[in-house]
Amino acid sequence: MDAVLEVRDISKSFGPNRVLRGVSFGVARGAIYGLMGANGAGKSTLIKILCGAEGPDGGQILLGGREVNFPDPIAAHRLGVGTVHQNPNDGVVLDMTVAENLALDTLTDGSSPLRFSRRRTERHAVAVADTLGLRLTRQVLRAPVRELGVSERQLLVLARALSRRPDILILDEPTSALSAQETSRLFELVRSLVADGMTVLFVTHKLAEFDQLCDHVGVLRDGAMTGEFHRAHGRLFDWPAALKALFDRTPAELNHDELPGGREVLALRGVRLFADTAPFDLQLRDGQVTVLLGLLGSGKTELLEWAFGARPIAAGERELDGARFAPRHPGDAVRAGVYLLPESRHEQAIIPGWPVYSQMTLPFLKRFSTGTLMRTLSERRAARVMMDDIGVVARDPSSPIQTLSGGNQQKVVIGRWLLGSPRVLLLDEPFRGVDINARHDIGTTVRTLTRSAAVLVATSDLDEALEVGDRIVVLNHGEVVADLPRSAASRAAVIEAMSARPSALLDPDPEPDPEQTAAAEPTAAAQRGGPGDGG
Amino acid sequence: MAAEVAVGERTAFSGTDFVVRYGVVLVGVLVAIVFSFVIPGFATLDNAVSILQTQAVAAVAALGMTLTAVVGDLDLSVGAVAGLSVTVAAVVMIRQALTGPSAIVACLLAGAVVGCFNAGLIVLLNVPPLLATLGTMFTIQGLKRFLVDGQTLITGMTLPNGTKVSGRFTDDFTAIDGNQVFGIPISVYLFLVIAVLVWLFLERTRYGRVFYAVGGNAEAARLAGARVRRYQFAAYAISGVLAAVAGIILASRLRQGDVTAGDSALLDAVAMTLVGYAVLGAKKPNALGTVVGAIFLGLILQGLTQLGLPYYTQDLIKGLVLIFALLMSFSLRRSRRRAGAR
Repeated sequence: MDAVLEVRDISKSFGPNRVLRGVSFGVARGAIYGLMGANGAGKSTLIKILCGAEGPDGGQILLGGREVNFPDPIAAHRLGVGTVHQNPNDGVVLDMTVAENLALDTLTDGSSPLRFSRRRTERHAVAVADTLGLRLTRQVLRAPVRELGVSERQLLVLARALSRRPDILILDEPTSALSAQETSRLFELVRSLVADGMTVLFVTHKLAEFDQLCDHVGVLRDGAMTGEFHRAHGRLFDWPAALKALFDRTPAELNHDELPGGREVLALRGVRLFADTAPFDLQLRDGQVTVLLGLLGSGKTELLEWAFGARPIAAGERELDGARFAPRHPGDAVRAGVYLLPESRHEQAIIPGWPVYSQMTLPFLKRFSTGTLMRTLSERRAARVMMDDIGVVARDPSSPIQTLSGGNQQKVVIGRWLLGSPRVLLLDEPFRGVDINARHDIGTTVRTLTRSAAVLVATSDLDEALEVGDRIVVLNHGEVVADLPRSAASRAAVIEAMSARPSALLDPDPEPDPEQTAAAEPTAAAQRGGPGDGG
Repeated sequence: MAAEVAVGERTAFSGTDFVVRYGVVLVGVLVAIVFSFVIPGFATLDNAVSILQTQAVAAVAALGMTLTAVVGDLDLSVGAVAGLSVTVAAVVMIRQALTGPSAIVACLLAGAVVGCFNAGLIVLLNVPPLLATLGTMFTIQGLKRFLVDGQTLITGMTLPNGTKVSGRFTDDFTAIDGNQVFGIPISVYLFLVIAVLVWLFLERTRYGRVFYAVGGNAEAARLAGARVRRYQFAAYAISGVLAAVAGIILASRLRQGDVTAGDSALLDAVAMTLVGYAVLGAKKPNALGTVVGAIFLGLILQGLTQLGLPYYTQDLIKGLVLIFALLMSFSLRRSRRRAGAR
């Protein structure tokens, strides 16, 4: 293969954490190479290395057969690697005008004269926009980027990246902020760039996008490539095989009896997660673990946070033990015995620097106080008992949380809710960033809990789902597409349900002229103007 | 040593750790010892009481500021609110010739209103706290001048419209800073009582626990069921009231409606609060630290003043102390690997 970009045995560790363990792949000239991987698989680290933001610990990067190294992102630019990052706001200066943003490279590289000239800047800007086929009116050029929508910002960032004439373009989840229409426009553009000889490394979570764009897909899991897939022209990828490469870890030896489930505890009716999705009902029973399985963006977190009163959704009714349940704040849900373990431990659950015991007692301070005064001794005693119960490895309840390993931190924030009296326990990605042993412990704890509570575990990992669940509900693009007892949930059936794409994305594009639409849209958007447009 | 136990990996004595934990206290003790030898009469009870009395105004304001710093950011309007208290007290007692207690009520009300105004800007209207309280600070400074037509209200003065003011600062009001009980001014008791109450609130009550949770990770506190916005609101409201108390002490000391009064309390309060971050390596706002900061600042200023340092160098000294405290709490960090740095 005539690889224009080749990565050989790249490895990278952060402290004891081996994020990349020898990743190798090659991209042929003029190809669009798709890269997929679950959260924490090492995708973002790999991209940081390829764009020069991080240095690898070992391995080589070859461009056109020659080994290179990128001490910083500018070196990567010079060698012809352009990167468009996930968040377009990282690539634009919000308070500068469109023209200034487009011409930013000439303004900062020292080549332009000292005196700032608007006319010269705008001339540069038009030249840069030209690389994308954008035709901008003076009004747009002089509008601050803040007034543009996210997709227009993304186009600006892309135009700037392209104006440096890169040989290789890295697109890191470029569509996460785009509408379906904007996405197809972007894809047209990428195809035309590739036709002109550019090579693209394309990262996304959305399977349909690989089908639309890529010839090759590489799957990254636990810091290593676990599979590469090619497709014949006009055919789709072998998704079941790719998803198997994405999920299948060491086969879980755990095989538990399927619990039948008891009383219906939480009933969700007429749930419409997003404005454009169909309503569904979902009942949770105690006495069993229900797993909500879905890829990123399927609406798992939205559903859990809504049930907990922490976020509104398009529509839906909640019932707890047969009575109407309408928490307006998480505090209401906590009082009713509905608890949520949020998706991001560090951002949403842990108070930095606090000891284990106060992390645990935070939702139930009233129980550990006399009048308003805290009884720290009884807090520590309760935390000690809970630590023994669920197997938290820490020196003592007063150890600061950051001295614990990820798995033990996770046990602490789960143990927090076990101090209460759970009726419904909603666990969002409880196994994320958790090693295999802690994962086993947490699974056991969760299964024990079903004696008193309805347990819902949201995950994007099929193995985790089969390991912990008795009933598997598959969520795909905001809708329930399968609801199976574990015994009926064959790997193939579940993967099929997870990877089914909604029809809108499956249809081939109605072939819009890329240049025309790309030029028309930002103009129209900026003329609509308005602060509401800025997001 | 507790700091090293906390980290677990390092058990060897670390000089940096020691400085971070005890630096401020050590420097304070050292300064006190040096001054005691150099200045006759420095190491006396009277002098200690005098230091506390001098610092009482800014310290009470700093305790309120500490509460806001716990949940979010410094309340920059405390100096202006203290000044507003002085003006309100003067208007009530000198211009309107009302009683001391009614002046106190008026001051507290004014402080509560400004505190709630800050809280509303920050919590309901989402203005960043530092900017909201900065805006309030300028507005209140203007307001207090407006209230007295830009003049200092003095007993017996003639107003621009020709009338002679009839009232004066009443004895019960001036007693707050003027009278002593067991040789200690009432204002010092007031300061110490408020300090103990704020300390108890933050360190021992469940409300204080939630205050720190909100400041540490507001989203985590919300998802643990805490009504985050209510706590933020309460912090800024209480800060307004405490700043008004500081202003009452100041008014009782000045006994006139000075339009610039209180403005300098802001710098002092910021310095005290931030020195507090550095006390015992807390690295967070805390009541004990703020009190230690007040004493630390008072020691240095009192000593240098008694050594003949001119008053106009005071702000320079305060600024340097503030920067020293910032270095202690922010620059001398143990190089700790950040969790989840992927």
